[in-house]
Amino acid sequence: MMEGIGTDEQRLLGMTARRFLEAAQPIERLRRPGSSAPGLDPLEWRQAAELGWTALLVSESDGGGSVSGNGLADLIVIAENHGRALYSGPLVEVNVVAAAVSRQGTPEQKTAILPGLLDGSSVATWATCELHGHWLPDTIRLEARRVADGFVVDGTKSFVVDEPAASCLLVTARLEEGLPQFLAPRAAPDIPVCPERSLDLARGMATVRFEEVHLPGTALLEGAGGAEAAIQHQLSTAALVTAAGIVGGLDRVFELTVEYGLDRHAFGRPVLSYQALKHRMADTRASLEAAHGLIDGAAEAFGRQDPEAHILASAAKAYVGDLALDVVQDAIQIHGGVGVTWEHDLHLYLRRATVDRVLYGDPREHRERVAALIGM
Amino acid sequence: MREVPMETVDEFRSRFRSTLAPHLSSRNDVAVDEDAIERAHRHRRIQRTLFDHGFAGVLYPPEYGGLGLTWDHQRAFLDEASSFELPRSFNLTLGILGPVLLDFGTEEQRRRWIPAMLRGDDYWVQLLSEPGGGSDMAGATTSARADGEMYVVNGAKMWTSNAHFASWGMALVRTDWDRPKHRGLTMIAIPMDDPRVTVRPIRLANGDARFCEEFFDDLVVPVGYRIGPENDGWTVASRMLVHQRNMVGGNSLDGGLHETPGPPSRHATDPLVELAHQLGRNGDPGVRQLVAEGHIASLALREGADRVGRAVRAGALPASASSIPKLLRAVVGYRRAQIALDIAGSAALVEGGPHSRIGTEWIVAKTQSLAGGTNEMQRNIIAERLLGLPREHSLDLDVPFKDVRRNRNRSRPAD
Repeated sequence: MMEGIGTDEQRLLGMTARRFLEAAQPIERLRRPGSSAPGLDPLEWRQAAELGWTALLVSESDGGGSVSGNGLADLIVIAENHGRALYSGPLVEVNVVAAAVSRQGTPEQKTAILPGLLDGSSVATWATCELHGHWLPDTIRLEARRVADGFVVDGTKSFVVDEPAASCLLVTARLEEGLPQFLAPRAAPDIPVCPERSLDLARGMATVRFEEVHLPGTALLEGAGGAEAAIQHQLSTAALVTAAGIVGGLDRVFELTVEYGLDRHAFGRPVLSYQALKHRMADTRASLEAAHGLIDGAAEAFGRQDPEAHILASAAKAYVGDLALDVVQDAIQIHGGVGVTWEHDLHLYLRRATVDRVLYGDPREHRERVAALIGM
Repeated sequence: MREVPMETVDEFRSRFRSTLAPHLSSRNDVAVDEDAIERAHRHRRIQRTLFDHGFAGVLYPPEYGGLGLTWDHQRAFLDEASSFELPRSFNLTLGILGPVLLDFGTEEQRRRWIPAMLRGDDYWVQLLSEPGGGSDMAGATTSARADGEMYVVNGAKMWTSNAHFASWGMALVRTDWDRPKHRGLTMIAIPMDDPRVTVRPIRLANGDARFCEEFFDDLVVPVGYRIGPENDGWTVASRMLVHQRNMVGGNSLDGGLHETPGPPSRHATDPLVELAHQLGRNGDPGVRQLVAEGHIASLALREGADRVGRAVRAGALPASASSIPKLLRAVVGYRRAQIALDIAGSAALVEGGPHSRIGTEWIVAKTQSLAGGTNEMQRNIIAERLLGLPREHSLDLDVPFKDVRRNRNRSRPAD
C-alpha cells in the first residue's frame, strides 16, 4: 500500500498480512506432488483470526472491530495480500457470514456462530449461486415454505466455495414474501454436499442439494431493512473483496513480468525495451491504478454510507473481472513459452483470476446491476 | 503564520451557500452551441464573481490572491458548485499557467500576473507545439534572439487552445542553436494582443475552432518576461506538461474546471443514461451493458485519477505518474464516444436532430488522445519514468540542434 493511500494502521496491517502469508507458502504447498485442493490448516486459520482477519466487519459489541474505523477498507488490504500470495483461506466467505450474523442475527444466533468465526475455530460459507453462475438476487430460486415448526427448503446451490472445515452454510432462498436467508449446518445427512475440483487448484467448490430439507424456525436470519437489502449488501461485500484479491494477484503478475522482461534479452536488448511491449505494460499499469482506485473508492463509500457505494462495488468487480484475464494472458505472452508451463506460477494466477472473475458475479452481471442502480 | 485559524470545510460550505450561490446560475442554462468568445467573456464575469466573494484560487497562496486552503476544501467547492455554471474557460490559465508561475516565476512576475488570473482579467495559454512538430516538443524552431534588454521572436506555434481570447501566452522558444536541442530552449511570456502576433483559428473536422495557430513577426518582448533561466526552458516546459496532465486528471490548482467524461458530479445522472431513455432504448439488454460499461469507465477514471493524485502529493509516486490520469482520460473519453454513437444509432447521423452532436463529436473523438501529449507519449512516460523500462534510442540528443535532421520542408529561420 502506497503512502498517501490508506492509514498508517492499514499499512501495518498489510505488512503483517504479507509476512504471515509468506510464511504460509501457499504456492509451494500447491506444488507438492499429488496435492489436490490443499484444504485449510486449522491452526493456521486460528492464527489468521488472531490477526483480526475475521473480526473486521463484526460490530465491537459482538466482539469484532476494525483497524482504521472502516472494516471493509481494512479487509481490502488483507484480501489484496491473499491474492498476491494465492492463499486459499475462506476470507470472503467467513467475513460475509460473520457480518451478516452480526448485523441481523438474534442473540442466540450470534452466541452460536460468532465466537467460533472470530477465533478461527470454525468456518462458514455462503451458498447463494444458482444455475451455474447467476448471482444477482432476482435469480434466486431455492424455494422455502413455512411449516408448523419452521421451514422446508428445496433447491440446489452451485459454486459454493467449499471448505470441508465449514460448519455453517448461509443459504439464500425465495419465500412468498421475499428473500430469506437461513443458517444451515454443512454436515447434515439430508443436505448432500458434492465437492467439485475447480479450475483454481487451491480452492474446492461444491454443489449443495436441498431436497425438502426441514429447518427449524431459529435457522431464519432476519434481514434488517428487508432481506433483499441484506443480500445486496452481502453481494457487494463479497464482490468487492473478491475483486481486491484479484488485483493483489495482478500486481504480483505485473511485477514478475517487469522483472522477467528486463532480464530476458532478444536481439541484444531486453525484451521490455521494445515499444510494442512497453506500451502494453504502460496500459496495464494505468488500468491497475484505476482498479485499485475503484476498490478503495467503494470501500470508502461504504464507510460513509454513500448511496454510490453499491455502484462502485459492482463497477470494481466488473472492471477488475474484465481486466484480469487480459493482464494475466498478456503476461504469459510476454514471458513466452515458459509462461504456459506447469512449473511457472503464471498459470496458478490465471486459474485463480478465471474463477474469481465469475465468483460473486461476472462482469456482465455486475454491469447489469450498475445499469439498474444508475437509473436505466 | 496565520493570524486566524483556517476556515473549516463545513464553514467553507456554508459560506458558499450563503454568499456565493445566490450569484451563480445553473449549469443547464448554457446553450451547447454557444460561441467560444461569448462564453469566454461570460466566464470572465463568473471568475470575477468567485474572486469578489472569496472563492477564487482555493489552493493558491493568499499572497497572490488565492485562499491557501486544502484539497478537502477544493473537493467541497466542486461538490457545492456541481449544479452551477463554473468559469471552465479558465481551466488552462489556473490549472497550468498559474502553477508554472508559482514554480518558476520571479516574485515580481507572480505578483503582477497571478492575481489578474484569479480576478478573471487575464486568460493565459501555452504556446508549445509548432506546425513542424507535435510530440517532439523539444524540437521547437520558433526563435528568440536576445537584443540588449529585449528578445526578438520569430516563428509559429500551433494547436493552442483558447488563443483567440487570451491576453497572455507562454512560449517555448529557441535561444541557442549551437546547443543540443533540449538545452537551447527558453520560456517567455508573450502579450497576445501585440500587433506583431497574428492568431488564426484552426477549423476542426467538426467545424469547431477551439484551437489556433499563431505567428510571431519580429515580436519584441522585454527579457523581464523570461520565465526561468535562459536555455533552461525545457525544465519549465516539462513541468508545464506535468501541470497539464494533472489538470486533465483533476489534480491541478484549477479548482476542477476541466471537464471530464461522465456525469458532471458524483450523484448526477450519467448523460449516457439520459441518451438511452430519450431514445427509448433503456430496456434493451445490450444497451444496458454498454451504458454500464461507459459509466464504469468514467468511475474508473475518477477514482484512478484521485488515487494517483493523492499518491503523487504524498511523494509515493513521481510527478511523471500524472501521465496515468491523462491516458485514462483519453481512453475513457474515446470509449464513451463510441458507446454514445452505438446507442444513438441513426439519430447521430443526421443533421439538426437532438442527437446530431454525438455524430459530430465522434468525428473529433481523437482530440483528447492527441492534445496535451499523445497517448503514445503518455505510454512512453509511464513505461520509461514510472516502470524504469529502457528508453528508445534517439539520434538528436548530444549534437548541436542546428545539425539535427528535421522535416525536409522545414528550414532554420535566419538569425
